[in-house]
Amino acid sequence: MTISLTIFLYVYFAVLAVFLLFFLFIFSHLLKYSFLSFTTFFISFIVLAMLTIVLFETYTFASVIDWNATIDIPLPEFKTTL
Amino acid sequence: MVKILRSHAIISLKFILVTLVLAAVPVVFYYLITSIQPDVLEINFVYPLLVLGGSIYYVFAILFFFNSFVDYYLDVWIVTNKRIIYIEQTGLFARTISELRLSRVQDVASEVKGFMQTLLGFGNIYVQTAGKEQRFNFFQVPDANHVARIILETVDRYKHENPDEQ
Repeated sequence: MTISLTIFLYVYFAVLAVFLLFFLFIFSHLLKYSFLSFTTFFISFIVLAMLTIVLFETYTFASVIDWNATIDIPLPEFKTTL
Repeated sequence: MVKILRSHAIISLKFILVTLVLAAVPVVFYYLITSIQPDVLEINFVYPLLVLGGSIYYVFAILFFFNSFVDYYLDVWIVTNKRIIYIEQTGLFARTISELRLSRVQDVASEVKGFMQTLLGFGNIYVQTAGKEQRFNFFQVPDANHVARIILETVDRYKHENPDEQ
């Protein structure tokens, strides 16, 4: 059985979407319940900056990969004898 | 008068250190792999999996840091000239707000215990109440002794100005 590497990319994007949803939720929590101060602004900026760096570096490393390549997964043979 | 109190900033050091350790783990893991078995990266699916796995791991570490900060920052005690309010954020989906009228305050005690607390000047404050909840506690707040004195003075002033409310 052969599977394309693109499948891992789709899984990655799905997990990333869930995490980004959590980020939005936390950020809205901070805006709703916190007193807007330099600390909240600074930490939010740091988090967004780190997130941007991670996603940019992921793109840099992932752009050199051939995602159309396939992986062969050897399936066990089932011998049937009559 | 409105005084807003949070736990001492040193408490946030815990989750900052955990985040730094989490960030270092993939780097150590990568160096271990390349030094013990460098050929493993030549296998066609290993490198893409490492890139995607590492990305997800770091996004998770940032999420952990952000969540921990919000959990720390949204725990707040507010002392006004009429009441004491405690807002406790537990995780993302639980938030408790407790309110205590100053007329219900019977006694205020402060405690600074331990090496770090004494060095940095933070501690706990215990407010004895006449209400259903017997104790209203402040944990690891900066300058605990001074804050306890402010609460006592505010309570005394409130009771003096509102003698009928006791």
